[in-house]
Amino acid sequence: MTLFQILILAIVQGAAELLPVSSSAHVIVAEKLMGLDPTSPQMTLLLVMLHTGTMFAVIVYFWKKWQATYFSSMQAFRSNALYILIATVITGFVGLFLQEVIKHVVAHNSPGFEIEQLFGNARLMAVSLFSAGVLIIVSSRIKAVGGGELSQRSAIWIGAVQGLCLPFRGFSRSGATISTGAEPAWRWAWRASVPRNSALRWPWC
Amino acid sequence: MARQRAEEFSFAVAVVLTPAVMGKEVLRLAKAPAEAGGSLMTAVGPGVLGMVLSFAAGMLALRWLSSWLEQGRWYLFGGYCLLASLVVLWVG
Repeated sequence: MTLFQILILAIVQGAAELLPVSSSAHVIVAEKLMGLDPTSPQMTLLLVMLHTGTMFAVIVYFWKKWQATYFSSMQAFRSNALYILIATVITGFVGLFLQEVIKHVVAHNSPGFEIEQLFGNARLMAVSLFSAGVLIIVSSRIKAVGGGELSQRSAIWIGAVQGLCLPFRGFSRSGATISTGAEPAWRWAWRASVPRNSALRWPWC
Repeated sequence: MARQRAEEFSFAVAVVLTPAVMGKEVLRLAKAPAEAGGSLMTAVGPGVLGMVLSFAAGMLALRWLSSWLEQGRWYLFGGYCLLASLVVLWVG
C-alpha cells in the first residue's frame, strides 16, 4: 500500500464517516478504484486506525458542546448518560436482531455467511445511498422546531433508527439520525407508519 | 428536536459504539493466519499516519456539516447521495 493510497483512504474515510453520505460506500468505491483488497488483514488494520482517528475528531470537536450540555452538572450527566445508554442498547439490539433475521431468511443460517457478503453488493449499496438521499431531502423540507431537549422517547427512536441502518452499507447512520431526529420529522414518520400498520414494516431504512 | 441537537447526540452515541465495532475488527485480525502477522507489523506505521490524516479530515468534515446544518443547506447532502448512488452503480 502506497502513501498516496493511505492519504486518499484517510481523507475519504475521515470526511465520509462524519458527513451524512455513508463512509462504507465511499471507502469500498475508493478501494475498488485503487485495486485494494478490503478483506486483507492489513486493510482491516488500516480501517481500524482510520476509525480511531475520526472518533478522536468527534471527541475533540464536540468536547466544548458536550461540556456545556452533557457534563454541565451531575444531574445532566446522569440523564444524558442514560439516554446514550438507552440509544446504544436499542441500536445493538435492533441491529443484531436485524442481522440474525437476514441471516436466517436470506442465507438460511449458512455457517460461513457474513452480513458483509450481502451488503457489499453494489446495487444494494446504491439503493441504500439513494434512499438516504431521498430521506435527507424530504426531512430538509420539514422545519425543525423545539428547544432541542432529549427525552427517553427520542433516545429510543434515534437508537432504533441507527440499529435499522447498521447492516445496510450505503445508508448513513448520521444522515438518518439527523433527518429523523428532528421532532417534526419524527412525528411525520410516526404518522406515516401508523395508519398502514397492519403488517410489520420498516418505516425508514 | 433541533437538527444540531440530533447531530450532537448522534455522534455521542457513535463514540460509545465505535470501540465496540473496532473491537470486533481487532478480534477478526487476531484470527488472521499466522503468516499475516509479520506483514501486519509493517502496516502499523502507515496506519498511524492514516489515523492522523483521518483525524484532520474528520475535523474539517464536522465543521462543514455544522455550518450547512446552521445555514439550512442540509438538503445538498441528499442531492450528493443521489448522485453518489449512480456512481456506485457505475463502479460496481
